[in-house]
Amino acid sequence: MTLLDSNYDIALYVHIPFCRSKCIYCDFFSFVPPSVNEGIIETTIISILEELEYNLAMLPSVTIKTLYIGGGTPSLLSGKTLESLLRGIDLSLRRHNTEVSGLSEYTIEANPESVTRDFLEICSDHGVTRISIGFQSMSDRLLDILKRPGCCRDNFKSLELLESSWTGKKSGDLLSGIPTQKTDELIESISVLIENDFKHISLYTLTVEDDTELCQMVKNGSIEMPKAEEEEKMWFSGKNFLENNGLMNYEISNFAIPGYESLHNLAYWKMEPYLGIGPSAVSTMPASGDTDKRVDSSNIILRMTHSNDLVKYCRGRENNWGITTESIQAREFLLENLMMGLRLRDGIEKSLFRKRFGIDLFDILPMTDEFSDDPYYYRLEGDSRFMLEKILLSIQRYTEPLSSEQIHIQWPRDTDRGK
Amino acid sequence: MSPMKKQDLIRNFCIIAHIDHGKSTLADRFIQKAHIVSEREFHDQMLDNMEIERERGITIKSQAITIPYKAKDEKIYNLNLVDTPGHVDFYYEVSRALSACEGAVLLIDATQGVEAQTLSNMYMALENDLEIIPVINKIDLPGADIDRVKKQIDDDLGLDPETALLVSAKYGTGVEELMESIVERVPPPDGSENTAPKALIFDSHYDSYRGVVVHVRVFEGIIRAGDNIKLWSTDSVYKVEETGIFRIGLEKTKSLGAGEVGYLIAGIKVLKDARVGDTVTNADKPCNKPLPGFREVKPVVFSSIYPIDSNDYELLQMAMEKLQLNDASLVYEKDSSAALGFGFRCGFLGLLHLEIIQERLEKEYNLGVLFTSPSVKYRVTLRNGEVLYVDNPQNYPDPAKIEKTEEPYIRASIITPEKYLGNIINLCLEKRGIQKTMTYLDSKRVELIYEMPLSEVIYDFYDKLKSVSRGYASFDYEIIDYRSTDVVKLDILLNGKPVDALSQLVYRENAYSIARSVCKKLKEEIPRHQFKIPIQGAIGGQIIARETISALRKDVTAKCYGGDITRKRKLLEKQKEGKKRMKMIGDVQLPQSAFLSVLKRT
Repeated sequence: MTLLDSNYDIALYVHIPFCRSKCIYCDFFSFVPPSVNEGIIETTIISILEELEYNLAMLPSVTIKTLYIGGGTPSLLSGKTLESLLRGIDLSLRRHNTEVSGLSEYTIEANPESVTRDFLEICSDHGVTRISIGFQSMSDRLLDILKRPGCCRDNFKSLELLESSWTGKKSGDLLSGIPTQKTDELIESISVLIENDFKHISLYTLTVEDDTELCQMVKNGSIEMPKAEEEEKMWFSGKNFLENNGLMNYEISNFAIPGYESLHNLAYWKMEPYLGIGPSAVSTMPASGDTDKRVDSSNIILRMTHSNDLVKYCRGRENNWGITTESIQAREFLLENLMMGLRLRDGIEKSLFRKRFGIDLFDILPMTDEFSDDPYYYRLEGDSRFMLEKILLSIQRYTEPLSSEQIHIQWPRDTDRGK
Repeated sequence: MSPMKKQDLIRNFCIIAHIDHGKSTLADRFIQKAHIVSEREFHDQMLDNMEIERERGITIKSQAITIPYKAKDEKIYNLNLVDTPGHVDFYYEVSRALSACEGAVLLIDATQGVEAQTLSNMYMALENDLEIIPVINKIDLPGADIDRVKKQIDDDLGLDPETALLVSAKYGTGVEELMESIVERVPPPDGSENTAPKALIFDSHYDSYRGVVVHVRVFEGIIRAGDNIKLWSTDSVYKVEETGIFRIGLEKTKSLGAGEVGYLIAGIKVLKDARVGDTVTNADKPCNKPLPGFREVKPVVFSSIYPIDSNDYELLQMAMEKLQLNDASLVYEKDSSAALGFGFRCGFLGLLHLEIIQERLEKEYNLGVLFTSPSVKYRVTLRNGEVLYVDNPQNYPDPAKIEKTEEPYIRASIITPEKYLGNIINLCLEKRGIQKTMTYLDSKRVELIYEMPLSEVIYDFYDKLKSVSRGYASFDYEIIDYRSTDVVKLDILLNGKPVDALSQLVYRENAYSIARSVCKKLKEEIPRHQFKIPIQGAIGGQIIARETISALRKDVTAKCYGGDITRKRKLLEKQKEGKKRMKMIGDVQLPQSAFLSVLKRT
């Protein structure tokens, strides 16, 4: 099996796995000092660029629509390293006949305390169009609880810098449901971002993930999570406040003024092909069972997950960058499409679903009240925050008996495939 | 000098101990010393051959094995070890196993000392006239206090501490000396082979090829293949197909004679026909009276079992039949519930027995099952003079028709270090206990004797006792009589509808606190739904407790991007698996754990 090279669109993700310190709730993959130093970071960046170069060379026909550099904390890179990363990406894209300026979105993640004028200028110079900043909260007390590397002053300093030196789009991450957090504090945080012209805000609920410090603390009783009802009320106050200010809840935890949605993330939710580069990054791509990688013979979907072992990763191509590959079965893929697509307020486009799976959703499901009667979209009738889990659990009863032969996968889109 | 009799080379003994004092480990050492099993075949706790027993570290069934041992006198002795169950639920089985022996190794943990079961087991051994060899085990542990235990052996048990042997079963230290002591101190069995046979059934097990294998101790006479035997309590006659002794498997012998321990196979179809404690004799030439001590095992705790998936009823029925083949003390009959459909009303020897059956149904038969709140058997006298025994809340008569209700009482023995005395007395009072005696066993330890209702013990008494005494108190009980009580039927309503399977009979004064705690626990256990679910506790029509489960929240709403899709999908698939373990009651999904949480009142 080899990745399919034909004229379809991909979302490209680059993972920078370094942070200044580990926040108690985070289960994303990153290294913190002292286990890293500038040398290790540089070596990793070189490997990332090699991996990107290799992949783009092997997929000459695909079109890169969006690019997202996430982490970790990309803003942690020194000016010199950031410069070489962005220049390297730029060159690889050019060799692939893609101009950075032709991307529909180019995002980089940053933390407030490491946003500098230098950082913003380098990003602008290399065509980055959108910056996504992890503020989490505007309260020092709450940032302390989360063991965030920065403080409130860093937040405001970064806002000032953006005001003076950034013309691109801005997105901010905030958390609700932090232990001891008050609704007023959440609203205050949102207000600050809205006042600073953020047209995209992600409002997450602090969740206790396995193997995090927070999980330990909850278990040993040193921290108490807010009661579900309280947390829910707080999040809803946040949601209402955002929507009253024109930022629509277009995905379960994401809000945007229409036209400012994250195009890159929409590709995930719509389950379009994405290529992930860097330690721990994940790709989901169409593949060909044929040795001629231009022939799409069997609708194979591959998910490739990079090892988070830097040594394995940096051994590069000889070790396939530490990638493990899983083949996604038709039924699993169908469930994933529902799981991701129903997170969106717009839901799943009916005609697209039909093309992708050769069936109508309602051919396999009994008519249920959970779905709206929208003729163009499969959409949950109410708030997907409350409904998604239930509907997915019940949907499995009907999708489970389907054999892979009954599902005719055409992915990405038949019109785009190897013609 | 009289000629050597066969019996002179036999020693029948058992090991008795409090739970965790190292009984199974010592049994393993005996087997290893005897070289009847190669090291490769040997696995820990040879005798506990059920998976659940090994997991829990508790011996549930009596087991026997014949160990050849070459003593200092150069003669080869057959040491018959009869391993006994290690839990109060199986009191009767222990007493029968003891009566199959002439001697008992009384094992005491050097770090724990004498405990409640040590005492009660010793009394039982004395009742059966056994020669007792006190053994102090775990002498390798840093906390071992041999002098203290010797003093307890003297003061509490009234045995000569000088005769106590020091052993580390774990490392095999002192095991050789112990085997030599068994030969020296345990008297050989007597009894003539020339009289009518008389043998005690101390256990039996079911073999799918051979039928019931009866474990016997022959006291008099001889039993051979081809003999017609009679089981005394049922007067039923069978033809013996085979006799033999226990090695690691079964080893066929020509006969079993007076003094021997072994098995017989006689075409007995179901286990309950071979009753523990019963007497086996020759049908054509019977003995004139049975061995003493037989009684029918009566269950004391009752609960209903339902399949989570109603379609599994027939599978459950088959599983119950098979379980009964191996567990004669399990009794059941058909039952039905408006909420749960068809199931079985079952009687158990105790709560541990109930838990074992549940685990076996799940592990060995892969069945998802629910158990309703356990109940004791109440004696209800109606105004018209009629007397009923009620163990199922659904059958509790209209209170207006009841003259009086009585419930079973136990005599509980608790041994505790003095410093937990206050906590334990409070706990016993809370459980309606009546103190009978309080005896200082030594300067630090006290034995308490309480009479209390069995219904207070079957829920969480043991757990609470362990927690208020930091695990130091030990506990043993026996049922004594029925006493007058004041019982009400507590109903639990979900979404306004009573769930019959959650009803229980409770002491009136406890009803409010139990109702509150059950509602609270159900609130924790029932997953949130799309709608609010009120949980109510009620007596008659009166609501006495209430909790509300608010509507579902978000877990899936945590951020989800390209990196977590596989993990999130697997989580979802797993959740769906978990759903199979739920029971729909009206619109509400009730997980198995919800039923379990009602079992344990805390």
